[in-house]
Amino acid sequence: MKRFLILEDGTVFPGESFGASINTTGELVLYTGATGYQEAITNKSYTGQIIGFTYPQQGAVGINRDDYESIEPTIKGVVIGESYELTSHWRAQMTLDQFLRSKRIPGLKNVDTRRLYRHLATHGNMKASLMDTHDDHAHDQIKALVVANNQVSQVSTKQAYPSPNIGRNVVVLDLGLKNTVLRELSKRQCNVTVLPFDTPSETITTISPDGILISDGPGNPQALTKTIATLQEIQGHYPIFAIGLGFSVVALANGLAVEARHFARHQINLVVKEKITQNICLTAQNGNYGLTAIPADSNLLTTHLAVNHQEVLGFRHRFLPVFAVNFDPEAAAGPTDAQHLFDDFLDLMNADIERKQRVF
Amino acid sequence: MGKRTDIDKILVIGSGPYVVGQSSEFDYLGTEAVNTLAAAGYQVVLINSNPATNMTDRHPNVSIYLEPITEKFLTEIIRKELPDAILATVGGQTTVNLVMALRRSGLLDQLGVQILGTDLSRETPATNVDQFQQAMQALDLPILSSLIVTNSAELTHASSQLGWPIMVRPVNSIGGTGGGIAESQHQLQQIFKRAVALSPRHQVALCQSVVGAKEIEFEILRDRADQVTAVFNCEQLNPVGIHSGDSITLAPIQTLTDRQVQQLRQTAITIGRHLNIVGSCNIQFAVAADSDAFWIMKATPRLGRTSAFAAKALGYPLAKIATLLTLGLRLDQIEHPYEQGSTALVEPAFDYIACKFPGWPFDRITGADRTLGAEMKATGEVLVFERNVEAALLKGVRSFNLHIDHLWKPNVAALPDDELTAQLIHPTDEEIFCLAEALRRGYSVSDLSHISKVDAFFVAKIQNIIQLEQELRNHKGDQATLAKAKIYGFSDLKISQLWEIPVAQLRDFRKEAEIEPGFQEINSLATSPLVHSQQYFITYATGNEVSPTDQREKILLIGSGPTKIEQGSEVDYETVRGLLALRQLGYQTVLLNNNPDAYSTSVGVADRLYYAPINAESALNVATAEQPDYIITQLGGKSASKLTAALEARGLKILGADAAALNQVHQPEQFRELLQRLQLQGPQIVQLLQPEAIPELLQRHHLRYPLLIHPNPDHFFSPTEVIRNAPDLQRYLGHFQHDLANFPFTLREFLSGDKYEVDGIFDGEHVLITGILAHLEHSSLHSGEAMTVTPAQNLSVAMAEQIKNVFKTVGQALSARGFMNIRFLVNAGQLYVLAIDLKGSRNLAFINKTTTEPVVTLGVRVLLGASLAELGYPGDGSLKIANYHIKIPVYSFTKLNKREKLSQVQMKTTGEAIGSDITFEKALYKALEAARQPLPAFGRILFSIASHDLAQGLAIAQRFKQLGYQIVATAKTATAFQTAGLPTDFVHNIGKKQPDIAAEISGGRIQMVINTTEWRGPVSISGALLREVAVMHSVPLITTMDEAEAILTVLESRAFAIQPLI
Amino acid sequence: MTKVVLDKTAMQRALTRITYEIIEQNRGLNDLVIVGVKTRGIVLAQRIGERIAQLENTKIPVVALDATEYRDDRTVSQPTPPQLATPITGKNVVLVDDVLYTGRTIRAALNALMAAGRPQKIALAVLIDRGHRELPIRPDFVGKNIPTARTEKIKVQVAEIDEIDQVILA
Repeated sequence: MKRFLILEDGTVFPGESFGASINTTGELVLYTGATGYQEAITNKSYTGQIIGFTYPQQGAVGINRDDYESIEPTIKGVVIGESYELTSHWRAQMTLDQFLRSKRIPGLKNVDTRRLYRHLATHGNMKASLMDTHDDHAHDQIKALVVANNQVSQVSTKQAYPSPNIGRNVVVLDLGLKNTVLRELSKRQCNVTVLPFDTPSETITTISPDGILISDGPGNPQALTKTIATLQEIQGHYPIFAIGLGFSVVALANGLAVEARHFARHQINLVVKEKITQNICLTAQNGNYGLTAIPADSNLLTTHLAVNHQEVLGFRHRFLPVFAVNFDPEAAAGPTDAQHLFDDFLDLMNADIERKQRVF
Repeated sequence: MGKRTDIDKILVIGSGPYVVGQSSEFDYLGTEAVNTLAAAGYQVVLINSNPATNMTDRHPNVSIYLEPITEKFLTEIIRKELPDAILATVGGQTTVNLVMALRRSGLLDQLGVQILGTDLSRETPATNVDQFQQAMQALDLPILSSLIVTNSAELTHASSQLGWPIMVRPVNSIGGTGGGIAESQHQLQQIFKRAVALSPRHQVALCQSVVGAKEIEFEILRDRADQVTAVFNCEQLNPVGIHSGDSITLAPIQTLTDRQVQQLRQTAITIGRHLNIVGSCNIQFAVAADSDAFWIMKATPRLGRTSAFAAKALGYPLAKIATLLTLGLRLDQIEHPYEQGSTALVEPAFDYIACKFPGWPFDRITGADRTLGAEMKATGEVLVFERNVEAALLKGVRSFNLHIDHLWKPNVAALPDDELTAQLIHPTDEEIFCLAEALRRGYSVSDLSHISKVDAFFVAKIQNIIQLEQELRNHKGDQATLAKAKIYGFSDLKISQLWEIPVAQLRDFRKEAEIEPGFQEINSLATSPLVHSQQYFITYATGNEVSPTDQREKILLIGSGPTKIEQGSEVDYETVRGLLALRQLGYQTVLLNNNPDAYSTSVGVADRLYYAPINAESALNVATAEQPDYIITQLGGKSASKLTAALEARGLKILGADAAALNQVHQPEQFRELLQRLQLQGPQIVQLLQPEAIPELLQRHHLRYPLLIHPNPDHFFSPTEVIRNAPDLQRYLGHFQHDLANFPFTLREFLSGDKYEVDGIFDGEHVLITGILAHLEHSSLHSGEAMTVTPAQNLSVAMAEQIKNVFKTVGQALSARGFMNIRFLVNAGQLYVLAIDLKGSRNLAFINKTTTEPVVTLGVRVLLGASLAELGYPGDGSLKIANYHIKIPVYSFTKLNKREKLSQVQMKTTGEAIGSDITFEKALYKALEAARQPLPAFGRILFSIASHDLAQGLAIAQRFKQLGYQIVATAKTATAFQTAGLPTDFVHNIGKKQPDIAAEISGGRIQMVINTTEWRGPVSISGALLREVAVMHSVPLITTMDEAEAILTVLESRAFAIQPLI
Repeated sequence: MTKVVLDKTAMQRALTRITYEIIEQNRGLNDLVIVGVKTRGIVLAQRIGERIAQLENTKIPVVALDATEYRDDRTVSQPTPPQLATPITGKNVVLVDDVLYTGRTIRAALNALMAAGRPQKIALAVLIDRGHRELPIRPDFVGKNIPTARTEKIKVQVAEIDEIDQVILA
C-alpha cells in the first residue's frame, strides 16, 4: 500500500506501508549503521522519533530475543529502503515487519533513503509524519506538531527496581536506560538499583550507593531540571558516571551550555580520542545535543575529543569523582571499544571507598 | 610522531609477473605505495620484472630495476644500492618468502637493512602458521586446529584426530594451489599426494573442515601508536570451501547481527595488535550458520586482493595509508582522502552495497575443470556498486561483456534436473546461474540453500529476481513494474525480451516514463553525504548527485574493465598514462571503469570516476551526465574501442579513428578489401556464413591447410584454433556449429615467417614508430603468447622503411589519428600485413620501458591535434632503443588444471616479465629468470616431446649433451634418442613404475623439462601433471622447440669449450 | 609460577586514574612537581607527567630521585643531598614509585627529598601496594592493592626498560 513520509518543510517521500498501518508524527532522525536496527528500534533514546535508516536494506537478520535494548519500543516510526522478509538467521524469531506490526509501530519502505539523507544533511533535523495521503491537511498537521519535551518522563521507570548482584552498590538514574548498560554492570557484579529520573537526592542518600550512573535517554536535556538539581546536590558525595543524555545533564549542572546539532547523524562509527592516553576507540552516538568546547575556567576538564571534526565527547570534574561521555560505551549497536569505561567507573568507586576508609 | 627521518632510501619489492592468485591487484597496491614513498620525499629503489604495471613507470626519486625478483638479483641490488629499509608488503607472498630468505642469509643483518612496518622477515606468529595457531590458542581465540603433515603414513592418525571432512592445504603455495577437501581416506591420500608435491616446503596442513560456514573478512589498519581501524568488512556469497578469490563478495557484511559483527571486529583488532601489525592486515573468519560459533581461518599481515577491493569499495587510498603508517605516521595525522577537517582514522557507514564479482578464463579455455574449490581459478574481477543485492548480482554478470545480460545462460537452462542439482552440490563458476535456473524450475529457497550451502538470504535475493521476471511478463507495459525492475538491476534488453518488444521501443518507453538512471556518490567514509569524493556509481535507485564542474575542457576516457586473459594491467597502464597526460595538459578528466585491481580507479588518478559496466549504455549515461568535450576510446583496449560506434552515433566527439575506419580493419571482408585497395599483401580471408561444403569453399578462395579459424568475435565462446587438415576442420565444426551464434566463422590463411608487432603514432601526415617487437617463435601463436624481442635484429633497413610506409598509407586511407598497431610477417623478402588496429596496443607498457620517450603522452597530444613535428619529431621517425629487451609470457596453468599450454591459438598467459641487458643472450637469460624459469648451469634435462618434433628435438638434445648436460626422456622419446645413438636415461610417466617423473622432479634430479604436445590429440593428464609438478618446483619448463633453441644460444654463449683430447 | 596480575591495558588504566586523582586532589597544577624514585618509579613519573601534559596542555616538572645513599641498610655516614633538576621548596611534591612494600625505600626517598629542599607537601603515588609495611607510611594514590605473601615477589615491568608493560607475581 502506498504511503508517504512528509517532512515539515513540505518535502514528500513516497513509499510503501509495512509494519502497522497507522499514521504517525515525530522528529525524524537518521541512523547510519549498516547493522543494529533491532537495537536502535528498541533503544529508548529514540523515544518519540521516526528513525530513518540510511543503509538501503534492513531486516536481513530478523528480530531475535537477545538483542532487545528495552521491552517496549517507544519510537514513532521506521523509514527504510528495502525490507527483507525472510529470516535466514538462526537466531531470528520473527521478521522486522512482524515485529513492527505486533508493537503497533508504522513503517515505510521502498523509500529513496539516499535522497532523504542528503535532504536532512542539507536542511537539518526536521519533524515528519507517516501518512496515507499527502494533502494539505497532512502538511498542516505536521506543521502544527509540537515536539514533546517530556520524553524522559515517558520512558523512565516509574518505580525503583533492583537488579541484584554481589558487588558494588550502584544507583542508575534511568533517563531511558538500555538493557546493555545493565548487562555491563551485571558483568562487573554490580548490585544495581534503577531509580526514576526525577528521584530527589534524599532518596539516593538513603540508599547510600558506591556510585551513580546516569543513563542515556531521549529528548532535550534542558528540560530535565529536576535531574539537574539532584545532580548538583549529590555530585562530590558519590562517584558519578554519565553517558549520552546524562553527559548533557552533568554539563548543564556544572554551568555549561549544550547545543542542539543542525543535523544529527546517529552513528556507530564515531571516532573518539581519550586525551590522557591518546588511545582511540570507535563507538556509537545517538544524541541530538553536543558540546563544542569547554571554557578554560570551567571545573570540567576535557577528557575525550572527536578525532574528526572538533567536539568534546567526554569530560571529568576537576575536583570531584565525576566523569561523563557523550556516546554510548555499552555499544549495542556498535563497536565495543569503549566498554572499558565501565571498568573505569568501577575503579573510581573502589578508589573512592579506599580513600574514605583511609585514616590520616 | 611524524614520518621517519632515520631512513632515506627504501627498496620496494614488486610482485613480479602475474599468476592466478597473485595478480593485477598488485598493480594498484604497488603503484600507490611507490608513489606514496616518492611523494613523501624518500629515495625509492624498485625491483619488479613486470613491464605490464604502472609501478615500473618512471617517476622522480625512483630508480627502477626491471630485474628478476630472485634472491640472487635482489642481493646484488641491495649490495649496490644499500637501502636503509625494505617495503615488503606490496608484492604478495613471493615477497614475504624473499625477505625471509634474505634474513636467513644474513644479508639484512650484515647491512643493517630494516623491514618497514610489520616485520615479515622473521618467523613470528604473523608469518608462521604454527606460531599463529599457538598464539591464537594462548589468547583463547577460536582457531581451527590444524596439523602439519609431511608423510602419507601420518594421514590415518591425522584423520582420526580431525574427523571428516578435512581441508587440505599445501603450505606456502600461492592462491591455494593443490588444496582440496577430502571426505574419505582415499580422497585424502589422493589430494595429499598432489599437495605435498606442490608445496615448496613439502608440507601439508590438514585442518578440521568448516565447509559450508559463512566466510567473512576484515581489513584493518594499525599505526605505531596502536590506533586501529577496522576499515572494511565483507561477506562471501559462496560459503567456506570455495576460494575467496573465486567467491562473489559483498560489502558490508550481509547476514550477521550487529553483535556478531562487533565480536568479529573486536577479534580482528585483537589479532592485529597481537601480531604487532603496522600497516594493513586481513583477517578471514568462518562463521557458523546455525550457532554463535566462529573460527579464525587466516591472517594476512600485508596488502592483498581484499585490500584492493576495500580501497575501491570505499574510495579510500588504502595502499597509500598503509604505506604512510609503515613510515611512522599515525592514522590521525593523515588527511582524509576527500573530507576537509577529517583524518584517515575512519570506519565506513555504508549506504550502498559493493560487490566484487570474479571472472574466470573458462570462455577462453576448452576442457578446463570448471569446478570451484580450494584452489583459486579466477583471473579478474569487477567491482559493482548498487543499492540492493539483486541489482549488484545482475550488474555483476553483465560486467564481463560475455554477452550475458541476465541470470540466465542457455547451457544452464538446458541442463537436466539431476545435472543441475549436481552442479549445485559441486559448484562451478556457473553456480549463480544454476541457482537462478533451479528457482525458475520451482525449487524452494530453503531447499536450494540446503543443497548449495549458499545462505538463504542470497538465494532469496535471486528468487526476487525470478519473481520480478514473472511480474514483468504479467504486467507488460506497466510503468511501476518497469521502474521496479530497473531499481533491481534488470537491463533494458532483458525487459524488452520479457515484454516481447524491440529494445529500442522499450528504451523510448522508459525515457518517456522518465525512468532514468541516477549517479550516487561513493562517500561512506565521510560524515555527511554532501562531501564530494568525485566517485560515482550508476543506479536507478536514487536520483542524480552529479553536480556541475568547472569550465576546463573535459575528456571522458573509457577504461578497460576487468582483467582478462587477453587484457591485463598493461592496458590499464595506457589508461593511467593517458589520464595523467591529459591532466598535465590542463584537461578535466572523467574515467569510466569497473576494475577494482586497476591503478586507474585509484583515488586521484582521474578527476572523476564512474563505476559501471564498460558498455554503450553506461558510456552514454556518463556522457549525458558529464557532457564531455571529447571522448577517448583508444586507451582502454578492445572493450573501450568497441564502444566507438555507439558513442559516435549519438553525435559525441571521439578522438582518433572513427567507427568506419575501425570497421575496415576489424571486419574480415572489409579488411581484405582495404589491403587490396592499398595494394598491400595479407593473408587470404574467407567467411563461413552458414554451414556449407567447406572443401568447395576453400577451393574457390584458393585456401590451403593449415588454416586459422575463429567464430563470430561477438560471441562469447570464441576460441581461435589452427586447423591442419580436413578431419580437423570437421571435428572443430562438429563442436561449434550447433550454435548458430558462432557464425560467421572466419577462416584465414596460415602464414609462417618472421613476425613483427609494430606500434606507431600517426598525426595525419607523418608517422613515429614507437616500437618494433620481433617474435622469437615461429609457431602460430597469438601475439600475447609469444616471446618477443626489441630491437628486431633480423629486420632490414629497407623492410623497416616499408613498414613505415604501410603505417602512412593505412593511416591516410582511414583518416586515422593517434595510436596505431600493425602486425607484420616477413617471408622470403615479402612483407605481409596480418592485422591492423587503431588504438593503443597492449605492448605500449613494455615499449615505454625500452625508451625514455613518453610514448603515451605523445600519442595523446597527437590525438588532441598536435603534429609530430611540433612535438619534436619531424618527418617519419623511429624511437631509439638502448639495449635488448625481451618480453616473455608467464602462464598460470597450475590451477586451471586439465588444460594444455599451447594446444590452441588462444592466449592463456596471465602475466608477462621483462629481461633487459646489453646483449640478447643476457636479456633472454634474465627474462627466463624473471618468468621463474631459471636456466640450469648443469644437470639433467627431461625430454618428453611430440612425434613431429622428434627430429629437431634430437638435434637440440645433442647440443645440450655437447654442453655437458645429461639427457632423460620418457618412453617414445627415449627410444628415438637411443636409436639415434644419444645416451638417454629412461623415466616412467607419473603414477607408473618408479622412478617416475614426479619423484625425479621433486627429488631435484631434473633441472629442466622440454615438453611438447601432439598437434591435437586428447588432453593428456600425465602431460598436464608433469607441467604442474615442474612449475611448482621451479623447474624450467620449455614447451616449444623455438624456445629450446633460444635457450641453447644463451647456454652456448656462456659455455667454455670443454672437450677431452681425442 | 609467574602470573600476570596487571596487563598493559590495566596498567595504563591504573596510571590514568592516578593522574586524574592527582589533578583532583591538588586543585591546580601550579606548584606541582612529580618525583620518580629510581628506576621504574622514574618511568612511571614521566608517564604521569605526559598524561597531565596531554590533558592540561601544561608541562609539569618531572624529576628523578636516587635515594640509595639514604637507605637504612647502607652505611654512608654523610649522604650527599641529591641535586634535583627543579627546586622543590614550597612545592607540592608527588613522589612516585612502582611498588610499596615495607616502606623503607619511601622513607629513604623522603629523607633525600627533605635534604634537597623544603616542599610544601609530599604525597605518595604507587602503582602497586602489596602490604607488609614496617613503617607508618600510607600511599595517597594507589594503582592496585595486591595482597601478597612475604615469600612472593612482585615485579613491575615497563616498556622503556623491560620491553613490555605488565606486573607479574612470582
